[in-house]
Amino acid sequence: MHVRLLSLLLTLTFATLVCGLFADEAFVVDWHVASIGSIDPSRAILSPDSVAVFSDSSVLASLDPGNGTVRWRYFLRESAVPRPSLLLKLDSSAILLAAATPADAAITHIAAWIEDSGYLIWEAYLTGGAPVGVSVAGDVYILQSGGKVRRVSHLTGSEVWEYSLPEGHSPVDIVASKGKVLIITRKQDSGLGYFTVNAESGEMASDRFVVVDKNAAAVSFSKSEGYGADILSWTAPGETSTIMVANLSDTTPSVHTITPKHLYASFSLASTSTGVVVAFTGLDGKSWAESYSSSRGKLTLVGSTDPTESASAVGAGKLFEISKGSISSFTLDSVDVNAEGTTEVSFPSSPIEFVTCSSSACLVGYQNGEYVFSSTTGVTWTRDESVTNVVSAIFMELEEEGQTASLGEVLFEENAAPLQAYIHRVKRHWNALAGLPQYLISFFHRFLSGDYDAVPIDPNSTVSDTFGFRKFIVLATTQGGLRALDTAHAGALAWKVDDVLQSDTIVGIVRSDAKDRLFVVGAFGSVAYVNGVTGKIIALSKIAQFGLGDKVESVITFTDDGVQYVAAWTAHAQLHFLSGSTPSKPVYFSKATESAIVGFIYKEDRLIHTWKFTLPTSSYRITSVASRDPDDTTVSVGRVLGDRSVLYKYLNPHILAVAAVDDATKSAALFLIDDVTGRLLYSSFHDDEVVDTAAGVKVVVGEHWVVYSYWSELATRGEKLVVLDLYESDIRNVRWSEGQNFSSFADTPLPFVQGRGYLFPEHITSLAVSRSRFGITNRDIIATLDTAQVALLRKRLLDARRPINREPTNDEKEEGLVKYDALIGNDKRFIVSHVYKVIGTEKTVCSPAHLESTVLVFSYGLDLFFTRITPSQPFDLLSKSFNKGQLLLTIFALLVAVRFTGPMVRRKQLNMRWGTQK
Amino acid sequence: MFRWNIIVTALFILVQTVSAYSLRGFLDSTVSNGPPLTFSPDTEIILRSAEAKYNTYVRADGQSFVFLNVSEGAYALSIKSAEHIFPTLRVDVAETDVEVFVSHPGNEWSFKGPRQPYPIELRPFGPAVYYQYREGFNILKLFKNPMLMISLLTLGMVFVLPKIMDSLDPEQLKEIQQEQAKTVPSALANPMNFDVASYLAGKSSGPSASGSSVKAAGSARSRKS
Repeated sequence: MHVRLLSLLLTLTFATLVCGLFADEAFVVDWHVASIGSIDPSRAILSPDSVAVFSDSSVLASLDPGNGTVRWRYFLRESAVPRPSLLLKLDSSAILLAAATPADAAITHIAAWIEDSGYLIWEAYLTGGAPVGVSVAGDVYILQSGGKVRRVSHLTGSEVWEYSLPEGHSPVDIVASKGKVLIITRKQDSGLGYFTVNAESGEMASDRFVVVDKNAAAVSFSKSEGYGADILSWTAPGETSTIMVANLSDTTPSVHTITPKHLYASFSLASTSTGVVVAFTGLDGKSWAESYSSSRGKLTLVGSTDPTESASAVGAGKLFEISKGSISSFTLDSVDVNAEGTTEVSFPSSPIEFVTCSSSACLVGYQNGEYVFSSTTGVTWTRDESVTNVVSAIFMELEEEGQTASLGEVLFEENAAPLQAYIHRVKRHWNALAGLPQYLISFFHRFLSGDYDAVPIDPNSTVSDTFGFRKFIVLATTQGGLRALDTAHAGALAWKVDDVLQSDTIVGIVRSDAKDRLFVVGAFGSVAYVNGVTGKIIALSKIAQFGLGDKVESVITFTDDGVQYVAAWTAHAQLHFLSGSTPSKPVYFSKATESAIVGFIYKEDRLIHTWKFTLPTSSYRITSVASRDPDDTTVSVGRVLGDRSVLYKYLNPHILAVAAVDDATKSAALFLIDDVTGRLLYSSFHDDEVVDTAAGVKVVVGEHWVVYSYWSELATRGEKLVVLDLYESDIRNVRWSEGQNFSSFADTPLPFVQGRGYLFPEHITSLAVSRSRFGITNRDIIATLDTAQVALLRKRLLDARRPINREPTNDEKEEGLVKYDALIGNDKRFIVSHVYKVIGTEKTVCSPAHLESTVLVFSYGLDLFFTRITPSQPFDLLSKSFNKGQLLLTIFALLVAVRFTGPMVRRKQLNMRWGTQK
Repeated sequence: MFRWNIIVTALFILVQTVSAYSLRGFLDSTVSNGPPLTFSPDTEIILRSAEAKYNTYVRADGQSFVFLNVSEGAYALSIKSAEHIFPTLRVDVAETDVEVFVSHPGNEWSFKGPRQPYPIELRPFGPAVYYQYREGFNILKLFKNPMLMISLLTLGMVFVLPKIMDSLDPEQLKEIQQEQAKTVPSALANPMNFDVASYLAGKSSGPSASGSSVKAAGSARSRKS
């Protein structure tokens, strides 16, 4: 009865299959963080009106120098790799990116982009190797690793001429100026030197390879870029006390030796109007700078700064020093290094990774993933790019505010003697009266405003709102830090901790038994116990008996008698329990390798290998493994059909869905395995389809169903979404698991599997399934797309019972089924991320709100995207379109009507009694 | 900006002469009435076959695109755009010529739609609509609601029927009353006894119903719905 009523209710109430986001909810329920990824100073151009970056995540972006927001960006994962690549200015309004292509490192992709609008001007693909050096002098001159030199038109990208280096030369760099092109190379037996090529004709100007040093070690090249001279610098092998420099802007370059004041670990050299300035980092980590003036063929030291703990860098004609609390600038001239001024600024406390400067401002990169853009007047903006490299993300529940009775108090009142309990209760209520005026004010405020949704919450507090929409999302970054984002305040940073595990890299974060505590586990066995609400590190320890050279691979949780156990799984197949105790009963788990799944049992403090599932052929490889969320609950054990008979769901909690692809035959396969016994429950193969094996198969396990997707070219091209519904039996009302808990050891029949394939027009990059608080609400499939969007697909749309080639019967209609149509149309209302460009998302996590109807969804990868979804409509929430005024008006109108019709009815009744009316 | 327009046009002509394997096309921005459409710089154009994938972006003139060094094969050309919905085209690149066809998603790949001109021309179907809009309160819409119309009609009948009854002669009235008594079934005639719970559970209302009538009632109801 209960089951029937509920399913009927659900079927009737939530019959919509496509349900878009309401326009008034966009930008209110969701937020998006647009990231660019880690910045490398060699691929960043600082100019007064723009900051252009090609990041380690292959994002080409232009940032507003005023506030650091992204003006435009491109995710060039498929056309350009960050290493090796070169980013430089083409002219005052355009930038040029030359990079090797991901598909073929011997091909260079070179493209010019307008700096303010972001439009592509031209692009070209050049064979002959990855880019080694690019120089812009009107046209673009490019030197490739294969020994090719090309001149490319700066207007169209077409090739003007091509020149090949003679045999035996390995290219170093290229510089073009004044009608000639210098190509710096190393020749095997001659050493470092250069050629001169005529810029107009592309022919060798002089038939001579000019050798500058026979045995040069590390070579760096500082190009003038419109300021000073082109300086080639190198070090002698094994030498850390001198630097050799040659000015290639001279007609006959001569070699000079610079001997710095102290031994150096690294140096960076920049040319000035009068000579060169070298910023050194000493062996003790301190840094200083020395300025040299070049006159009459001599290089003389004119000034230097004292070694300090700060980092220094040279912008155009200026020297900057960045320390923890200040930024200083120095002017450089032919006479001295003059301190210009120092500004006290509060910079991040993390160690500095790099500093790169223009003539007026510096971009400082920190090891924790933060970037600060600062001028001499102070910090202009800060970007935290650590959230682009997320290892793992987890939702943290927050306590609700204003609970008058604690659990302890309620328990006391329930268990104490009646009189005592009564006195306690009266006292409690008396104390609670203090909050009455505040309550009344807020009540009337809400009554008058009619706004029950937006309960203002102090962003600095750590309390939840009424509906549980506010949680913290804790992110573990690859830089070893933790970041907590506030879901209710557009992802504002709630707290952050850098270097949690003291230079160990984070492998995973897991919620512990205590609601607000987290385990952070590192690769080398470090474990931090962290308060997830405040970010306080409670304890930091090492796993005992951690094997030498062993590495933690993943973190596993087991639940036994309501107690949660957290364990670290290592590369040497060891299981270390983190909470101290170990489960008393045997626990089962499995681990996936490239081509097999291995089952284990942990029993009496021993790890026993139980089963192994091997893929049918060796050419198969596993692309993804999924199992049901252990917190997901089931309210109904069966699915009610239109004629009120029931198909019982196959509710095996140990289903492991294993998706594999075969790169040789371009096929895909899916296996459903029992995680405990290793028994194969179901398998399906997709041969003859030309599957995109590089994209792999994405799979999720819901309540009693599995959804997976893959891109294939045949019979029709598109992303194939396959749904498998698992039932205990294909016969209605038949159930073998009558009233008992599911056990993998019982001799159970194989599930009855019903499947349907659907066609989705866009590429799906990942799948996830929503989870509501009590499991009553329908489940939605959340798919991240390669169109930089996040789509929401109703599970009811992906139903395996939709009738094929006929209209649904009345029974089927009552079940909520519509006629099968393989193509899920290109309806943009599926897109829950609407106008946001959510680039590079790889994973989605869900968490229920306090309301049954609402699920919080968070996607991460490169960008971060958060939204709230209501798979069965917001049935427990007052609609935004609810009009309080209208309701009050209606009540008032009814009152008036009653007032007028009342006398009429009374008169009529009176007349009837008197018999004057029939 | 203007300068780049000229450059891109120049490039266009150049590309046509340089390589036979360069595909070019443009996005049609004309609108029958109103200002022309604009295509944002991150409008990505993707050319994809089972073997290869090429991608490029719309050029600085905001309309044209060029694919360089495309190898022979049958490609699907699609547009990634946040603002507009574009059709997908099939582009067959052969050694000597390029053939463009309309492609319909969900059909077999060998099925070619109508031939399209080359250079490729792409006109968006329409703007991408991501949102639903709430319906505000509308008095006219309220009166269009059939439920309200029915109830208004019944309300009218309440006033009109007694007047009609009055105008009938007593014998006719008696006949009508007798007929009514025959046709109205007991459950509906006596709505106070209707059991909602057993209706939902698939059981007939009323304690007197036998087993056979359960099935009959169930099937009758499902036919109704």
